[in-house]
Amino acid sequence: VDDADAHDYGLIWRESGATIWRAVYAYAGGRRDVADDAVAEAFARAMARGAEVREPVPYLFRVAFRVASAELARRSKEDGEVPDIAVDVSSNGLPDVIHALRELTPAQRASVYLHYRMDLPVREVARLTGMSTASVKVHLMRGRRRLRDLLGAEDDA
Amino acid sequence: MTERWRKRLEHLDGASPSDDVFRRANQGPQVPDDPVPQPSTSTRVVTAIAALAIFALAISVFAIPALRLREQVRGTGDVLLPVWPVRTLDGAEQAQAYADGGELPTDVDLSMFKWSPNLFRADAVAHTFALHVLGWRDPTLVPLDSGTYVDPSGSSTPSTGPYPPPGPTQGPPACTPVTYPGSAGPSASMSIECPDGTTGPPSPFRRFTIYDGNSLSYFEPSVTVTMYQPLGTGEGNVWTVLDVRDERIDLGVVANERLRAGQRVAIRHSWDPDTLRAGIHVGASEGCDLEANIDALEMHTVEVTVPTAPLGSTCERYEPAYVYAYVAGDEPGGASADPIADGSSQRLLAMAAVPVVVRFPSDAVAPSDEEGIVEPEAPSQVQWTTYSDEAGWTVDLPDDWYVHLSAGPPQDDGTTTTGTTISSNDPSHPSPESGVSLTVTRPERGPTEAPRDSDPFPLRWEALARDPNRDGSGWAMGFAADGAGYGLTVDVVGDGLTPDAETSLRRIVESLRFDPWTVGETRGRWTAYLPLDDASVERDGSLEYESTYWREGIGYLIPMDPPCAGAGWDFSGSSGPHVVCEDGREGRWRWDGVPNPANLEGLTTPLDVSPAIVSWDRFLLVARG
Repeated sequence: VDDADAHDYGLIWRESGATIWRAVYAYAGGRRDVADDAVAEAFARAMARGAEVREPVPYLFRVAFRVASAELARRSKEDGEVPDIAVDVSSNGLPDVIHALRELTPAQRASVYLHYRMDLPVREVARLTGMSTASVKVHLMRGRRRLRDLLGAEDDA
Repeated sequence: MTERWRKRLEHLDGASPSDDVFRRANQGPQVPDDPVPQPSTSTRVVTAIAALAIFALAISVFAIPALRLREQVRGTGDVLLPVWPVRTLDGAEQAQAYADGGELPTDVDLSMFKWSPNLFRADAVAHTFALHVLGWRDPTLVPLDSGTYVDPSGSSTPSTGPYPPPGPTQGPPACTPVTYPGSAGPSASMSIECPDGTTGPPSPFRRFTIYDGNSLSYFEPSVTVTMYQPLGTGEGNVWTVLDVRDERIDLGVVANERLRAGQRVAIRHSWDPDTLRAGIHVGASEGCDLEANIDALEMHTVEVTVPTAPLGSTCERYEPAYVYAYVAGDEPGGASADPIADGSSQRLLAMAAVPVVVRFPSDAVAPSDEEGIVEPEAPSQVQWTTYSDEAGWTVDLPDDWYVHLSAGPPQDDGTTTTGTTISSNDPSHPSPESGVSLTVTRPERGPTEAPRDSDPFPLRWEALARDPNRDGSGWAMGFAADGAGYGLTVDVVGDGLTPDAETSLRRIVESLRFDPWTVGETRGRWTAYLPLDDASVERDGSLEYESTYWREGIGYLIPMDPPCAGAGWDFSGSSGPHVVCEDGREGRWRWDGVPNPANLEGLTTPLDVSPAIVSWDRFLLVARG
C-alpha cells in the first residue's frame, strides 16, 4: 500500500478542513493568506508523510499552527509588526470579531476559538495546539477577559 | 445562557478557506527545512536576558556541578561525565580522535556525526542532539550563557559534588553567581564567587535553549542543554552534552550526584501523567548496561528505582549513569524507551536528563581498580523496610532503626500533639551519646488550624535542611496533607549526623507519602469529590460541577442553585457570589456563605457551603456536614 493512501486526505479536507482553517484563521487574527498557506502546508506535509501520521487531524492542527506561527513571526520581523490587513467582510459581524481577536495574542486567539467556539475541552485544546493544559487555561482566562471588555459580557438573549 | 462575546465568535463561521487550498496541498510541502536557523539579535538578547534571570534563580534552586578537567582523578566516582554523545572519558577520547581526523570509532556510536564531523562546535553538537535524540526536524538554537563554574570548595582536589554542597553540616555556602564586567549578553562569562575567596579549577560551559521550529513561538517545545568539554578547554577539544533541562520536569537529582543501587528517585513534573516516561540508565560498557523505568506513578510524580547489579554482571563499583524523563508526542514511530541511548524516532515534546554516578555495594560487583577514587563515605549494606502510621502516612526506613510513638508537651495555646519517632538509637536507652531521629507530629487537641491544600509530595530534604535549629541540633518543618497540618523534626545528638545517617534521613523524609484518593473516598471529615485535572468542567479559572462551584484558593464548595429565580450566580467577583433575582433584588455573600448584611429579605440566609481543599494528588476534598 502506498503511504500516501494511508489516509484519505480528500475526505479529511472535506470533513475537517474548514474547521482547521477557521482555527488557524482565528489564530492568525483574520489573516486569510496566512491561514490558507498554513493549512495547505499542513495538508501537504501530512500527505508527504503518509502512513507515518497516525492521527491526521491533530497533526494537521499542530503543523498548521506552527506554520502560521512562523509566518507571523517572519512578518513581524520584517515589518516590525504584523500589518493590519483588510478584514474579510463576507459575514456580518466578522470585522468586529476579528478586530477584537487582534487584541489578543495568537495563543489566546487559538485557545478561545477552540474552547469556546468549537467546544473542545481544555485538554483537547492543549493537544491540538501543543501547549500544556495549564497554559491553555491561562490563555483562556486572559482571552475571555479581553473579549468581554471588547465585545460585551451581557447575555444577548 | 451565552455571553455576548462568546456568541459573537459565531461570526467566524462565516469565513471559509480559499478554493485552492487543498489543490495547493497536493503540490507538496513548500516550506523548506532550515538546518540551524539563527534568530534575530534582538530575539537572542531578549531571550538571553530572560534566561539569565531564570539562570540566576536556578542557581539558587538547583545544584550546579563543579566541573573538573581531564588532568584530575579519572575514576568514575570523581569525574563529571556527559550524557551524550559519549558517556565515558574513553568514549570522549575516541570522539576526540575521530574529530581530529581519525576513523569513526566502533566502540561508541558517533554515526550521527558521520557526515558532519563538527564535534569541535558546541552549537553543532547541541543541534545534532536535537535531531537525533529529541527527534526534532528543524531545531533552532538560542545561546543562553557561557563561562566558567568554579568549585567553591577550593581544595586542591576539589569535590565534584553538587553545588551548593548538600548537607546541614556545611550549610549552603554564601556563594553567588557573578557576571564578569563587560561581558553582558549571551556571551557573558559567569562564575561562582564565594566570600572567602576560594576557587577551584575552572571548566567551560555553554548553554543553549533549543526550540523545535524557527519561530520561537509559544507552541514550540524547547529544552535547555548544557554543553561542556570533558577533555580540555578551548578550540580543538570536543564538546558534549552535560545535561538537558525542561522547566516542567524536576529530575530530583543533580549532575554527578551519587546514587545507591536500590535508591528511589522521585521525578516531579507538570505534564500529563500518561505521557511522561522516565528511567535511569546505568553503565556504559557491554558487560554493565542496566535500565530501570517508572515503578511508581502518581499524578505529578513518578519514581524510578536505581537498579541493582545482577549476578554475573561486570559492573564496577562506580558506574556512570543518567536519569532521564521525556514526553513523547503522538506523531509517528513511537518513542524508544531511552532516547539518549537509542535516539528517537519521533518528536519529543520535552526532555530532561542529568548524569549521575551509581554506586553498587562492594560485594555485588566485580573487583575493579579503584585507585584514585575519592571515597566520601563508607558504604554499608543497609536493608530497608516500610512503616505505615495510623495517621495515614508511610515511610521507608533502615530496618535497624527504631519506631516508637511519642507525644509532645501541651503548648501554651492548649494544643497537644501526638507523633511517631523514627530513630537510629534504641529508645530504651534514653541518653545516647550520638544518633539521629525524625519525628512526625500532628495536633490532637487545641485550636483548630484552618484547613489548607496539601503540600506537594515527595517532601524535599533541602526544604527541611534549609531551616536548621539555632543550636544546630536539627531541623523542623511543617507540611499539610489530607486536610491536616503535620510537623516534621529532625534531632541530632552528638556526632550522630554521619554521612550515612544523613543519607538515611533524606531518604526517609523523601519517602514520606500518603495513599492516593479515589472519588467518593472519605478519610476523617474529608471526602474526595472529583479530580481537579478533569479540565472539561473548568470555567473562569474555577470548577463548575453539575450542582456546585469551586474556585482555587477560595476553599469552599458552593451550591449552584441561588436562593431566588433569576439569572443565576455571578461568581466573577473577588469577594464572593452575587445574584440578581427576577424581581430585581440583589444578594451578595462571602465565599464562606455569610450573607451581606445589606441583603434584602429572602436573601439573608447563609449559603450551605462546604469547606474544600486540594489533596496532594489533586483531588478536590470536601468536608460535609
